[in-house]
Amino acid sequence: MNSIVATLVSGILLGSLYALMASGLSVVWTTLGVFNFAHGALMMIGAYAAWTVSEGMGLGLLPGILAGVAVAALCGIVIEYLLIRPFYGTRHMLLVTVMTTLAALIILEKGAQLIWGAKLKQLPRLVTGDVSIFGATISWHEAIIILLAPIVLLLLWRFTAMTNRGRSLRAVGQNQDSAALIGIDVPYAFAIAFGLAAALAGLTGALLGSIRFITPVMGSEPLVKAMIVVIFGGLGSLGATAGAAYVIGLLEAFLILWLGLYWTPFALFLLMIAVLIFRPNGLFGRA
Amino acid sequence: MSEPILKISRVSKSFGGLKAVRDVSFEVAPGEIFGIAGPNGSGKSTLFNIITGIPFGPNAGEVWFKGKRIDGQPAFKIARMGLSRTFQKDAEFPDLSARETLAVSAVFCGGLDRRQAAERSEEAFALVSFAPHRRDMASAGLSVFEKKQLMIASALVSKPDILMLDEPASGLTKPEIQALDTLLRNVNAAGVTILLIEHVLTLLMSVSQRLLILNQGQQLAEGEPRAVMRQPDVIEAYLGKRTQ
Repeated sequence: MNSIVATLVSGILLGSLYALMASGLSVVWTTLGVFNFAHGALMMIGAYAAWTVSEGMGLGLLPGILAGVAVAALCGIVIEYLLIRPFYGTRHMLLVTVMTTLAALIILEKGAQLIWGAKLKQLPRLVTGDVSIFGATISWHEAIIILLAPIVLLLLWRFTAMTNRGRSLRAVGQNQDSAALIGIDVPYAFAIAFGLAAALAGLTGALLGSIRFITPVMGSEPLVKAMIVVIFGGLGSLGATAGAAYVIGLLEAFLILWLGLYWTPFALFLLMIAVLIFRPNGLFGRA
Repeated sequence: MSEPILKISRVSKSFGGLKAVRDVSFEVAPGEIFGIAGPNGSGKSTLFNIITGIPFGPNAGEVWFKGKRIDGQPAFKIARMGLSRTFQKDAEFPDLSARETLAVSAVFCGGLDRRQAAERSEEAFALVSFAPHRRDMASAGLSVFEKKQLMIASALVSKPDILMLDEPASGLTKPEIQALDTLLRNVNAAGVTILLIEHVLTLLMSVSQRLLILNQGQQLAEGEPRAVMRQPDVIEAYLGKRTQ
């Protein structure tokens, strides 16, 4: 019984991290129609920036997290401006931006290695100590991530659904020409979407930097998971992405319990392929 | 004619070897309903594209709006200056409700705050007689006529000086075309200049005060609608050459 509860809690924690990560990827996809392969690297930049401010400068963890979010957002805007914007409206834009965002990923990873070196780094936890949930013990830091993820997702949903700036991003994602005709500056909307997604990646990186080691390639594995989440849930919907993140998180936790660590990624990919065969629009996507 | 609100001067647009619009010039007076007609592929929609900058401007020539040259300006700036346009295809933003669409347009194009945008949206809905109980549903679920009403309302909510309509009657039934006729007259009576591309000639002839005919990208005729439609070269462009 205890192992089931512990796995449930672990699954929800994984789901929370995937939801934070994948929601940014989903925002970029729905607004720009681009799959950002540098998203994981932006997470890593957020973690390193948070470490630099928190530990390197000794200013504390909260200013560090804020710096991580800000630096990642700035990097995201620069990537959009330099590596994506020149290719808007061109033929094969999707393929070209796969290459340019992969280039951004390599530049950021190698750049991080040059700046911060190969030595492993870690951020302190937001709060020390442990908490027991129905007999399963997790750190307070992990509990805060579990609580924070739905709040961030709710704020993101509120932004896209209830504010005119958020609606303008949805409008741009659905019809760029018509969006320009109702006065929306489409390139500016793209920059906002990319910056917002990168900020979410930065936040995830800063939170993850306390429970995992910070390395230049720390974003690679979460990026793959986030892609599974976005495709599994159904491209184009924030709700579907959030739902899929928790489903994948829980599935992964139980698969680790039942199949072991090594077979779990294989089982997850098999599941994703099955979903794409039987529900090409994703588990929660509309036809 | 009074000082024109829109002046098109010798505009041309080519796609490789295809000359879609060739050396077209005309002027539109404030408050006018100016019709544009021509056979399929005559360059009507390309001309609208050139004027609004979506998705392209002209290769040559000039576009002047309210005394300012606008060719080369970004499309959103042209829209904010007061030149609105609708497309042939409907459903601009399938996942946004009619109310959300108008609110975004009022804020970004009209520069209004949230409260003003809500008020202006109600005015625009009323002007196009959009059913109140359909305003909060996703646009994808609206009927063809409602989508046309919504497109016109979203163009009107920012109180533009010119409304450019690209075949608004396509896909509509006869009673709906009659309702559209009344709607266009009401919009025009509210002080909005209208440029209208239309294949439904009864509607075009009914509302237009002047008419421009395009054929193979060139200006064939311009003037009072009935006189223009009686011209032999216009009849020939529409019906083909009379055989003996």
